[in-house]
Amino acid sequence: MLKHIGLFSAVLILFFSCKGGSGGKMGPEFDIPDSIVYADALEISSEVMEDLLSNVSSPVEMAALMKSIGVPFSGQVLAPTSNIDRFNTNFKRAFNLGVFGADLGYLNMYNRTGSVIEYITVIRRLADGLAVGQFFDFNALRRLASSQQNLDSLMYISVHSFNQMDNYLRQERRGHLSALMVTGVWVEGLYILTQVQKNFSNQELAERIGEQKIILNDLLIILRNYQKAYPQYAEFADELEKIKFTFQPVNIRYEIGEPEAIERDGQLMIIQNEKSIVEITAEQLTEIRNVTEIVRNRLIQ
Amino acid sequence: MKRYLLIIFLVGLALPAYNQTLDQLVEICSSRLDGASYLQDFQVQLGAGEPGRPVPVAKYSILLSKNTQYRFSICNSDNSQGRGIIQLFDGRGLIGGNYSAASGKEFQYFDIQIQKTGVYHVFISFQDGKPGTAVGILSFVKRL
Repeated sequence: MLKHIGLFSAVLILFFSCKGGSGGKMGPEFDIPDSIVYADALEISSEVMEDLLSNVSSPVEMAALMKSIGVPFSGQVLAPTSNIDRFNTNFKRAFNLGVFGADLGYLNMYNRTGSVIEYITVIRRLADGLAVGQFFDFNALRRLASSQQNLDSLMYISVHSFNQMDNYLRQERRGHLSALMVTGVWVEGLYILTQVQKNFSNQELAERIGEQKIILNDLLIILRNYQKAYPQYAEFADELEKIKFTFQPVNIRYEIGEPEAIERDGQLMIIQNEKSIVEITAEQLTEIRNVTEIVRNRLIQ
Repeated sequence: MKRYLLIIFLVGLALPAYNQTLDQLVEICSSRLDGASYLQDFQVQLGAGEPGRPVPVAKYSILLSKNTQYRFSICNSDNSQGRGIIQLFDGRGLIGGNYSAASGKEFQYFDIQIQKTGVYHVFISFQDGKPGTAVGILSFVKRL
């Protein structure tokens, strides 16, 4: 009987260990052992953490906003891919995976398919290093970017791949890496927004920057929650606290209203009449931009 | 011994097949967005509700941005007994959904024009508390 159980276990282990597909090997775990301490160290439940992590807006929306108000594309705001060899810990890989993910969303929205290949190449390396490369369909993305056709598919596969990597990390109890990835998306998104706003003054852009105050609070809750298990997160959160400090004077107020439902041509449209209004000054925007630039540039080194 | 090997074989067949079904459903549902851009999916598999108890619901939090039109779609798996309902709530209550229990009207998706940036909650359940499998999709339609 014991022999049967042993054989059964061995085959199951073999089966599940092969499930990872084409993902690369796990990289060196200098600073973040993935599998230990997790549950006991968390003060907030993983369910709540998952909710908080979902509250970061997509780079697609951010780029769509910039494009819709006529902000020209600027390659200078993108993170350089030349630093890739320095990202040799899972901490750096996860954060920069998010950074390059935000850049990819920006490139896709502006149809800069030439640069897309350079970015998906570094994303694949980082994803393989974190053993989530199996969710990143590099060949399909490269094909779509090269053909400059099916931009909708390019966008879909890019966003879906990131969602899958994020979900997988959380399912595999590696939520601390998912948190870094999401933070990377957010930091890079804020950096791009504040940089383009410098030369393209616009009320909507200013409001979108001010709204980040809501998200930053959630991100800090998440990162602080991991610092007991992973001391490196404390230093990282301290960096983001510098950005948080610049958001303190930003005021967000709300006007109450009831939603309306309209049915037209068989389609249902809901119109929300409750509004959020962001009050932010030019001086506050400058301060947020300056501090974000310093913090972001330090983090991508 | 043969029994164990048979179990292993069946588990091996069933697990990838299950994943593939939900992934395929996401792909199918995302191809029916009528020009909207996919942002996120919610894969749901719920059991039957029990009499006298609340209908089972899957809940997710999302961030939606002001001056943006979003689309919430739902696609049922071919073998789903129940038909999926996707609803959006904020801290004050229900904002909208693809199904009205009062009129019995059902839509494959609903659009919403958001005017308040903040955290919202997506609820997915199945009509009459039947068991079901479905995929909800959040997509970006346009800036307002």
